Amino acid sequence: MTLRALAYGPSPLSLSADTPVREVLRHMLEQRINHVALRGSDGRFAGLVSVQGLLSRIIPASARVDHGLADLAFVGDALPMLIAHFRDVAREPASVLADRGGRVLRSDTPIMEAALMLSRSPSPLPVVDADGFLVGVLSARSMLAFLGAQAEAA
Amino acid sequence: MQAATHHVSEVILGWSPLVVALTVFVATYAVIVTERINRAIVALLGAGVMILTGVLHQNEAFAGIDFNTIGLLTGMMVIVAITQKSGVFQYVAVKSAKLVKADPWGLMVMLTLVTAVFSALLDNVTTVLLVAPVALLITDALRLNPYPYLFAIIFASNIGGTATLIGDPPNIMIGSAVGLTFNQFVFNLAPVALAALAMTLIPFWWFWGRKLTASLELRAQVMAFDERAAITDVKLLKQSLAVTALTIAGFIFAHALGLEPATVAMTGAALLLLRTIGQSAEHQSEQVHKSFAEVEWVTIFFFVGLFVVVAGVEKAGALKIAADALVGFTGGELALTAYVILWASAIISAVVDNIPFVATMIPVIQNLAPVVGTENLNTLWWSLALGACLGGNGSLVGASANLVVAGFAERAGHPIRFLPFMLAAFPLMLMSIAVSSLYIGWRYL
Repeated sequence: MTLRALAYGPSPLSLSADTPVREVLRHMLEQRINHVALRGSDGRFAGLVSVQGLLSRIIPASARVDHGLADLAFVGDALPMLIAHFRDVAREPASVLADRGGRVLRSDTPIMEAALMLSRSPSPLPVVDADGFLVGVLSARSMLAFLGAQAEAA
Repeated sequence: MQAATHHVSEVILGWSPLVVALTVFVATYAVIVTERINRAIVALLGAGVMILTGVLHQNEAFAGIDFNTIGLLTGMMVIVAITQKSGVFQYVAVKSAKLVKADPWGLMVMLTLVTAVFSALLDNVTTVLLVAPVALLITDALRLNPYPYLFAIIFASNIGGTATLIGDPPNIMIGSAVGLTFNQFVFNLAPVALAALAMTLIPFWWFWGRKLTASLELRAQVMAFDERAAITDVKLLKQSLAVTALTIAGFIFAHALGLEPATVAMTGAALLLLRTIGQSAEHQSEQVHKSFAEVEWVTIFFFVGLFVVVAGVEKAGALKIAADALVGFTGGELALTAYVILWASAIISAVVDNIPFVATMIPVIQNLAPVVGTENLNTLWWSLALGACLGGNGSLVGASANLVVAGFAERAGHPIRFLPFMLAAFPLMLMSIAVSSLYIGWRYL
């Protein structure tokens, strides 16, 4: 059985991968959403942008990367630095923020594999069809609801 | 079974031990250079082949491993792994930036000095892993291009590591093999390392320093950093500093006390691990596991394999042949031999890992004793140490610390490309070797 048996949540807002981050953030704040899907020039899914990913990008690279600083308590508020980073990131195309960790479900992903990926993901995962077009998102809650219904039916 | 092994005095299939040993040696080094296979695996395989083919008996292989080097490296790695958790390195880096009021050129000088001092006392890779992120943060706050600072950190780590017995693996290997003490390294190499560092700052200033500017507003931002907040564990800080001080004192007095550096380092590590006393056995075990997990076991086992491979070529007589060839080229004349070793070591170390090179050169130089005189051998040891350590600045692959900084810089979005780095670094490295040549000529010849 594959993910086709599950009910996906509605696709998140989809924007062009070239959209400036500033615009992406505006949509996120106005619509109170945490994720925006990106599409390439061919309309195919090009990644997911999350508020967490955006915030991470604003943090100094020295703390963001592997073997970087473990904490920034000694930096203080450093508001001017954060604002400067915010302005830098806001100008960039959203594609630089796209989650390229490969955490994407396909509509033919087996249920067990999907459950495993969801258990390791802090947020819902996008679902794409065989052609790479976004068809929805799947959350851990949806998976649990499905499994619960299956358990009762059995 | 053991008796049967001892009776295997010929190399497998009756082949020449020299040919087999050299083949294994060249193959091992060639694969290491390609970096396609983890170097520890290659070295251990090479060691295994040396034994399996009969070039070395197993007890000879074990005898060839310099456990003093292994113990010194392991002990210091444990001490640094624990100490860094206190945040002391970040404290020093931030404090030094504030001492120069976050002036861009002053910052470069201070980060260079801090890196050099740390590298002299700790291993270079750990030093740059701790200093580079703070440097990047501060340059970020000052809106400066981090490249010159990361370049300076690379140079400082290799130059600083040259100054002491424990600063760089080549020095550890030379000191251990020959019996040179911590104090001897400081008295003989620290002055020239200091001179090389000072000389290197001149082109740094000319190419970068005089053009770096940061507004007062941005500098105020850095001045607002609270370096005391970088200390995450005050108790650990005190314990670490005390043990580090004791360990360094141990190195200074080791010779007088008849102790090997490995004894000092491992005892220091054990002392620092003792800080978990009073906690539950489970927690102690967890802390000890975590501390030992931070040891670079890949490096340790690389050394183990390498020592056996070199022992194999030494037993086969290849290194005696190399020593004779060197004498043939230099006529056994001390000055020429010293300069050849210095410059050849530097250029070779710029492009290949200096650890295998030094491991090979140690027996070669030992074989020169009858020609140059035992009393003059130290001149050659200092030449080898200077060439191997400073040569590491010649390219990104010249030293592990260089690659670590480059890797970090790439992840942070500021890549350091091989060729641009080498075009700037190689001439600067040659300049430091020229300074070393003058020093060796003035002091020993």
